[in-house]
Amino acid sequence: MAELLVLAFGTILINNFVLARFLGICPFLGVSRQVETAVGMGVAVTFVMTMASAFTYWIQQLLVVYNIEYLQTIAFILVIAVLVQLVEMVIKKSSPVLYQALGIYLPLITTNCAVLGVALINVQEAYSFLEAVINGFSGGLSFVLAIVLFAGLRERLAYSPVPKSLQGFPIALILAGLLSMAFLGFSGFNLRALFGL
Amino acid sequence: MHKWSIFKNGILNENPTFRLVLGMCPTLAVTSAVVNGLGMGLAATVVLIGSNLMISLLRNVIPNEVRIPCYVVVIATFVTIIDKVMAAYTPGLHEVLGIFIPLIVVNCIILARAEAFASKNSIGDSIMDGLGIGLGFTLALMLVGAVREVLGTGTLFVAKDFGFSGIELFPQEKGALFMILAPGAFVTLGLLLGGINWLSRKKEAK
Amino acid sequence: MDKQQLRLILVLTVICVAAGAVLAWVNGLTEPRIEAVKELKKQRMLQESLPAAVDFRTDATLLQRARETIGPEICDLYLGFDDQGAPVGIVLTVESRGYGGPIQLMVGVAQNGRVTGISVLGHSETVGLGAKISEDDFLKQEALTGVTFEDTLAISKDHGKVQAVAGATISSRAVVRGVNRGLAAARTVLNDERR
Repeated sequence: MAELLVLAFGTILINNFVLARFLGICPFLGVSRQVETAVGMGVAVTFVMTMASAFTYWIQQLLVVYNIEYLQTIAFILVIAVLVQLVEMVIKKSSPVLYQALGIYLPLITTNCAVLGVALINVQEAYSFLEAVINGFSGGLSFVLAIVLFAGLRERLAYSPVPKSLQGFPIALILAGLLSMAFLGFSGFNLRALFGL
Repeated sequence: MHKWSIFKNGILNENPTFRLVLGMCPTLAVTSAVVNGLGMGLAATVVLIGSNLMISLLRNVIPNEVRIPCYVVVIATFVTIIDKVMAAYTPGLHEVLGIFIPLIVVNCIILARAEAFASKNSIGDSIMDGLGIGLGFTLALMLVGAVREVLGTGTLFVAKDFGFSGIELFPQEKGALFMILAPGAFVTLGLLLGGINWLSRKKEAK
Repeated sequence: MDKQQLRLILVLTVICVAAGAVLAWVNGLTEPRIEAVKELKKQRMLQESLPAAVDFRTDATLLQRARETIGPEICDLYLGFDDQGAPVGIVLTVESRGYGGPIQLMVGVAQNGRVTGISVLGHSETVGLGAKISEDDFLKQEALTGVTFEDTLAISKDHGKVQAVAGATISSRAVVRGVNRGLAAARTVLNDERR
């Protein structure tokens, strides 16, 4: 149990998907003008990342059994694309309210590299099924944390006199750098000691 | 002349990093040194040329309704090929770039060019477009890599795979660790983008 | 099913099958070389850890014995022989938990118990901080190289002699712990042989 907590907190704070691993930068920069939309995107991504971690775990087992690991990239991206479609259809049928909130973000998620990234990291680190799912879920939470904080900062930024050349993406990137630097502080944490390991 | 303008367009007017602001993940993640940026850029260029070629070739065969899955399969095939070739011939670089090689699949630049250019243009033009955009991406990655490598480690063009130990500009202990770590990537790219905006605004004002 | 739908399915299937075929072919071409590159890297690391040896052999029984006495962190064990076929020492690969994940180490010990080389095979420590454990400045220091398998090492913070990488105590400690395990395993195996 403590091992899994270390993994989860490590993924959220220290190896933050966006700020330390540079995964999912496109939606991080693109959908972070307002806190509300950022939360929507974050929830949708978390959902898909958790599902993708679970599904790709079994896909990888199959690839290994048949000795066709070279099809990994193709198989993973197709599974993720199908998964996003399925999630969209299920949400549309079961909860129109949720669909209204998340619907517009779902098609964007297929090309979010955090999703394929988490699947590849799970394989690389040879995580068990449970570890993979936890990593996917906490990876999603790390995305939520980063994008919501960032959106909050950008809302403030709208009232600041930014030099003309830096307006838009440049100042957003510099801001992301400062946020990333703040998160670097977490790497001083000894999580294993914290959870009594 | 026409081909040349397509090529130039990719490097300057539609530079994927500095103009379109696409493919930010690898631009930030693998640019701690020039050679990493070069390797990543060339890998993406090969994939771009290959996928543009195939998609242009098949543009009258692929039905509109399933074009995106078809593009993704074509792109993923080229990505896997380059992944395998790099693992075999440049193992050190392959290790450094890690998951960012398979992640070329979800690099928006490649799907965007397939959709916006290769599916509508001739094979020759599509190859030129792939080459131009790919080199534009490569140059951008190398520029970010150069800034971070020099300020972070005091060296330039270190390439262990090719037995080149680089040019030492100042001793490594004097380097700013910040530039090599994650925040340095964000800030460097932000300032470079700002600088390029400033230059083009000055040019327009004239 | 109408003709249009059939065409969609057909095109997608053909493209997928073609992609699979191309990849199988490329995989067949590159796989032997990827394996060879890995093997070459391992041989080079072994050579660095125990320069006197020209031939390295694994030994399942000794590995089993080392694991039982020291622990499951011992991953591999190689006996080194010179060109005459005489044993010159032993190389152990050890895994140790670092800051960012497992660190794989190789520890070479000569027949007389002297450490002949320590190298880092793989790690996922922070670039610019913990990653410096794989650099010569850390690995080639006297406190790590000039010891024998009778010694137990520690970093200076833990009242030992090993100079830790600045800002990377956990990573440095992990390396030292791994080296200690490797030394202990070498001691067990080499002392057994002498008897």
